Order: sequence, then structure tokens, then C-alpha cells
Amino acid sequence: MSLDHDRNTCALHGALHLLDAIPSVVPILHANAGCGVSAWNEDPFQSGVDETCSGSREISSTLLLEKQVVFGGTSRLREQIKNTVKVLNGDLYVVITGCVPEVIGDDVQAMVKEAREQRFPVIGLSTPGFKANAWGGYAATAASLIEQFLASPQGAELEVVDVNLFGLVPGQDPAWEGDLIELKRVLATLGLKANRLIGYGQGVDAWSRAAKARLSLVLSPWGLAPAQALRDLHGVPLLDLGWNPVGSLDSGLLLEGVGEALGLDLDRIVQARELLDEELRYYLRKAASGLILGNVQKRVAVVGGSAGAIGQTRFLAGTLGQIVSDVILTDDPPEDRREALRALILAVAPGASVSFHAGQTAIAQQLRASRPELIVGSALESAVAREVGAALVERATPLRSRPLFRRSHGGIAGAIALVEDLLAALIQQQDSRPRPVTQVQPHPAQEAFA
Amino acid sequence: MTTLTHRTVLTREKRKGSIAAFSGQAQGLAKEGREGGLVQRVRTFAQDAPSDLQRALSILRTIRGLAIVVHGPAGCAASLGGGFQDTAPWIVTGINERDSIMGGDRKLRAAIHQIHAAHAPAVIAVVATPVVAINNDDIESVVTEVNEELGIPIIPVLTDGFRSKIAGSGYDAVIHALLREQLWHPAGERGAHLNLLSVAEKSQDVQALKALLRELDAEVEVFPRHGNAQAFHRVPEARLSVSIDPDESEYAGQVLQEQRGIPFLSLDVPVGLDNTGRWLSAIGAALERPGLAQAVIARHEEQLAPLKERLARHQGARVFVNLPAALAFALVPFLESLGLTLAALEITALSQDQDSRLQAFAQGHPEVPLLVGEGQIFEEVNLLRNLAPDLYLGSGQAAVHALRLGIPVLDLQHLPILGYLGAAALVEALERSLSNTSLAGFLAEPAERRYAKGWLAKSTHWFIKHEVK
Repeated sequence: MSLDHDRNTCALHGALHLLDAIPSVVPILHANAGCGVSAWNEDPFQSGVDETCSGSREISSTLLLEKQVVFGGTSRLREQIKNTVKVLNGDLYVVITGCVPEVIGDDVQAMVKEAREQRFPVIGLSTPGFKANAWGGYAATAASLIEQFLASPQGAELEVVDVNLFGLVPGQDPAWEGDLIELKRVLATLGLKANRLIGYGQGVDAWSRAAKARLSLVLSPWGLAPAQALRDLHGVPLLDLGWNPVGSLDSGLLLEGVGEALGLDLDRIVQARELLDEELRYYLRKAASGLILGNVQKRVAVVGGSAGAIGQTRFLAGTLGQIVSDVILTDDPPEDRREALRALILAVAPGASVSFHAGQTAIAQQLRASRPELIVGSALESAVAREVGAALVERATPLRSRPLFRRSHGGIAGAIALVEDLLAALIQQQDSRPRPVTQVQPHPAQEAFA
Repeated sequence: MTTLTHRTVLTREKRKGSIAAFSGQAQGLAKEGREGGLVQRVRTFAQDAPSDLQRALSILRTIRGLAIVVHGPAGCAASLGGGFQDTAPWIVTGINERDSIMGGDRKLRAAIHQIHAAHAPAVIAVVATPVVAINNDDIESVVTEVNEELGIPIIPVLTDGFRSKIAGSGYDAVIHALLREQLWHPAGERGAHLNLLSVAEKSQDVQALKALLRELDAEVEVFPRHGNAQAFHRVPEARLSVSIDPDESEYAGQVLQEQRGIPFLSLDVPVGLDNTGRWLSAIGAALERPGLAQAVIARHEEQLAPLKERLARHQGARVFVNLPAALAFALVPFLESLGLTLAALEITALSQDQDSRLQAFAQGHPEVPLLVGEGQIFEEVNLLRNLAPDLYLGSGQAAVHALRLGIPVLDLQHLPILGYLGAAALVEALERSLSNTSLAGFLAEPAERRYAKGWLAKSTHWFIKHEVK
């Protein structure tokens, strides 16, 4: 199916964003020029209409040329691997392939094997763009990393962790880093140590630790493959939550699920849930006057990747009392997961229409038909939001209104941020409406002086 | 030599002897240029950089009345994403593994119909991608067929991501496709307007130059970047074509000159006062309004406060310049006129037809380090670490690597720099960048954190080798 204003890009980009999020991992891109730099388009000032150059992410790349397309690119890859380890510092070098070497049939694994025989820490993953979208690219790459990197025993003395977090997708889930930090905080209320695996302070050690964890938590349909790989290879059990919890109710559900899976004391779980509820109530009481005076009970449409959109929907409908009319899941999740995702939404928003679209026209058509008062979606929904007179809160990629570096869209922090942004969007919308012009009649006394 | 009758334009390497890799002193490259042939080199270690596909899309997205169909896997269209409001409507066929083997004709046909139905564009550009180029998907047959059904021009832009080492070849691919469409029609009457050939410029710069040209009583058609597809039929009827960047716009200017006899004024980039004055003078002369041009120049120069004084505190500051070649060669004398010193020059690529500019540069800066390449950050880090300049001046590079070396960065991607207003804006930005460098100071860290000590100790040209054919 053709995709207008596609938001999910390709498997290679999913792979690149994941590897880029693991400090000390060095990706080696085996592809023609442009396949790597085009993965980064989220900086608000970068690559806009006036783009004359694109930035570089310092990605090692074979930059395949016509002669390699014709005669094969393996020797160029050998050269690039050999020189990458001489130029870029890293603990693990990961060869990832674009579409071209897959089409021409380059034997990447032979080159990787050669490098490993020279004792270089190199693995090779097949990640051609045409295999899947970026969400699928994350899933396949994370699973392959576990299969290949964790295949050999990890010798170093490692910190013990309790729960691995899988399924938040760098490059696609805009607040992945903040969300993982917040989830770690939520799990800490039960005294559990979370293993974020990606982002600041992580690295190959975090992936080594994953094999010793007590549980893997799956936060989206895209987290299942790596969690399954870890279960199958290292016996780490998994808990498939399937969405990214927003607010204290769902964060509490997460604690309950994890607590049960790990056999924790029930009282401890109840106590932790109460603490989360208490924290959120404190902040929602602060927001309450604005919610009351602004009559903030809106017909809401939520558009985004499964994990984020479901989390926001469940908070908006289940805690904040909004009337969720439409939920459009844009990440093209596997067919066999869709009923379960639908059920998660309908459990809190029984009247909502749940659909699966990735193209902008289909999404806009549905929003035009339902005319929500508030859209929680991406910058791609801004035109249709203006058209139907809805306020827009950006929660999905691509973002334009606010760059994200550490802010969370999930947990308690994410719920509070959502209320702040929702109120801000409604206030901004109210302020931007033209004010009625009042005709002031001159006072008869003024006329007399005129 | 132009090849408008061919399906595709020749790469810049083949058409004008362009190179994408060199590291050494300016005089070394100038010697090669003088001797008639810039030597093709390759890198045995490289970092990713844009290809012709990204460059082609970067022009197409700015053209009003045009819609884009990217025929390839979804990621090939990723540079169009980002949620920008002011961009041409686009769609990607999203070919999958099966299509990559069996062909994606049906998807292409459906995508063209879909975007036509949704946006009713005046022109549709179908952009080819690497997988499609390898599989030889017959884009042209689909285009011909759908063209008859829809009755609007549908033009194939045959980029491939691997034939050229120079991303700018993608600019030529767009110009080739647009002009093939326009020059297919019989020549119309010569108009009074001139073509302002914008290929790599930001819209503020194009607007500023248009405003200057209006002061010369010139009627202007902008082509192709920031142009209007519905007005492109006027391009082959212009009385004159004028470059902004003589290197990037050379193909459009040459084709129009050869095919329709439209004189092409290939001028230094109008950056800084002297270049802008010369640019206006040459156009004034071509329009037979030399007196008016001199009056416009005099008026603007008088209005500008003395620029050098703004940088009085920063005289002698050493600047690393990384820009496209023609812009860099035009900008360096302006920077020097402001009292700044060139620490080193990096240009994205170099064409043989820019030799006179290279020679002039090398004569004044024989021993200045010169790097040719795009996106090769590892080489920049190697060089910057040794040079420790006071400022990194680039465009669209978002040179975080320079900040991490403690070097402040001024990026020109969104800063108007052309014409008189651009000169003033650039000086203001230079002054700000040099006067408070605390962010670079805070982010500074040893390069050894990311780059191997062995590499940092080597010469910058270590991985650049002569190309073996």
C-alpha cells in the first residue's frame, strides 16, 4: 500500500535509531549514501523546506557505488569494517544492511566472521528497509542483538537487575528516553531495578545484564520479539503488558503485573499503587480549577503508535474523564495483535472507534468525519486540526511544537505533562479566536462636546 | 555538454570532472586543476552523507503546484518527513521485499492516482530510488500510461543513490527532468523576464535577490527551487538566465543557453558587498541598464553601516569554513575583508569548471588546508583538533562534533546571507558567535572519547586513496 506523508519510514531506520541509542555501540552501515542521514529528520530546524545540506550522524558507511552494485560490495565492506575499528571507539560494532546489498546478495556474514576471527567485536544484522517499517526494524534488530551478542557468555561482573524494558522505539516513540526513566522510577516504588537498555548511561553492559534479569516487560507489540528471544535463549520470563502506561491507574496495573510475576508481597504492591495515585491526585487537584473553568471535557481523537496512543487514551478516558471518540493506531501492528489492542482501548472508552491507518489522507478523512474537539497526535495532524477547529497536542512522531530530550509522555510525569499540554493547547486555541468587535455608542454628552 | 535527449543526466563526475575527495594544501589541488584534471579519489573509510536522492527531494519539496511520488521503500522518502507544513504533497510507494523482486508497477500507478485525487497538482514528479534502479522498474511506461489518463505532466526523476559520489548530481536530475518536460514544447515568444536559477538556496535569500532585481526593473522567474510549476513554461522564454550559485545552477543555465539561446550569466555567488555589487553590475549590463545598477549599488552600500567595525573585537579570529565550493570561494574574501582569518576550507565537492575560482583561492591561500568531502566528520575532527579555530562556519551540518571540540559553530542553513541585507545579517551573526562561546566551552571534551587515538594521530588524508577503475 502506498503511504502519503509516511510516518513510519523503514526497518533500517528503526535499526539505526536503536543502535544510536546504545552508547558504545558503533553501527557500520552497508548501504548506498543517504540511507543513514535520512533517518534523522526530527530536529525542528533541520532539513526543513530550505534544506541545502543534511547533517551527519557520524555513521560509518560503505557508501556503495555503482561498481559495487554490479560486482558485489563485500570487499568494500571488509575494508570498511577493518577501518571502522581503527577510527571509531566502541565496545561492539554492528554491521547493518540497507536494501541494496540485500538485493545484490552480498555475503555480509562472511565479512563479519572474518572480522570476528581477528578478535574484533563485530556482529552483522540483516536490516533492509523494505523488510518492515521502523517499528518492525526495532523489533528485529533488538531480537537479533540478543541472539547474536548474547550468544557468547558475558564474563564481566555485572550489576543485578530485575526488569528489562522492551518496546519503546527510538525515533518513533518521541519520548522514549523520558518514558524509560519514568518507568524505572515507577518500578523503583516496588524496590525493583529496571534495565532501560537504551539511552543515557546505558551500553553493551546493559544488554549483557538483560540475560540475568528476573523478568522482561513488553511495552508495545514491538517489544515482544526481543523479550521472546531473551526467554528462549536465557530463560528470562516475559510479561506482555502491550502498552506504555500513562497515569497512576495503568502504572499501578503495571506494578501489579510485575509484582505478581515476581511473586512480591501483595500489600507492598497495594501500598505502591496508593502512593502513585496520591502523587497524581496532588497534581490533578492543582490542575482541576483549569479543567473545571475551561469546561475541559472534550471529544478527543488519539492518533499514534499503539503503545503511546493506548496509554494516552486509557488515561484521558479512564482518569481524566474525556470522551474519546476515535483512536487511530498508526504503527501497522501485526494482524494477530490488533484485537487485543482494540480491547485495551474499549475497556476504558467503550464508544471509541478504533482503526489502523498509516497514511495521512486516511487519517485526515476519519478525523474530518468525526470532528473531535481535541486531537492528541503528531504534527502531521495539524492541518486537519485547524480544518475541524480542534486543538492539537503533539504526542506522536513527528513533533513540531516542542523538541523532546528528557521529558516523559508516560507514567505519572507523562500524565501531568499531558494535562499541562492539553490545557495549554485549549488556552492557545481560545486566545487565537477572533474577538467579537463591540460597537461602542458615543454617550450623548460626548456628542454634545464634539 | 548537455544531454537533454537522454533519459538521465550524466553524473557530475562524468559531465564536469567533479571530485568528492581530497585532503591537502590548496596549492596541491590547484596544481591538479591547472594540469587539466582533478584526480578522482575514494575513501577507504567513510561516514554517511546525503545522496542524489536527498538532494533531488530537497528541491522538489519547495516547488509550488508539484506533488512528489517516491517510488521505493518507505525509508527512501524519510527526508520529506518531519511534519513540515510548507512542503509539496508527497507519497511513497513503500515497496516491500516481494515488490523488490517482482516489480512495483501497480503500486506506482496507484500512488500517482492517489496523490492526483487528493491534491490535484499541476505536475507530478516520480522519483526513482536505489532498489528501483537496480531492478529496472519501468517507471517511464507507467508514467506515459498514467499521463494519458490524467492529462498533466508526470515527470520521472531518475535518481539512484549510487551512480554518483556527489549528491549535487541529484539537483541536475531534477533540472534535467523539469527542462525535458518544458523543452519538449515548441519555443514560444521571447519574454522580458529573466530566470533566477535557484538550486541550493534558502527562500529568504531568493526573496532578497528578487527584491534587488526588482530594483533593476527586472521581471523574475525563479527556477527550480522555490519556483512555481505552473509558471515553468516561461523559463524557456526568458531573455536571460542568472546564477545564484554558478556551480549548482550550471546545468540549468547551460541547457537553456544551448537549447533556446538564452544567455547564461554565471556569476560569483552574491555574498558580501563586492560580490553583490558585481552580480548586480553584470545583470544591469546584460539588461542594458548599467546606470540603474550603479545607482542601486550605491544606494545600498551607503545605507549599510560599516560592517568591519562590528567585528572590531574579533580581528584575526580564525574561521574554519565548510560550504559548497562556489559559495565558499565567494565568501572567504568577504570574511577576510571583515578582518577574519581562514583557518581551513572544506568544500562539499569541486568541479573542473570551478577551476578559475580554485586558482584564485589557492593563489591567496597556497598552504591553507583544503578538504573536499561531505559528511566526513572523522576527517573534520582530525583537522579541527589540530587547528583549534575560533569558529566553525557551515551550512546544514549541525556541527555538534565541532562544539564537542570546544569550537563555536555558526550554521548558515536558516540565516539569510546573500545580497546587502544578508551581508549585514551575517556580520551580526558572526559577532554573536564570537562574542559568547560558552556553550562550546561547556560541551568541550577530548576527541579521544569517540575517535581512536591512532586515527587522531594520523594525517587527515590517510583514508583518501586514488580511485582504481
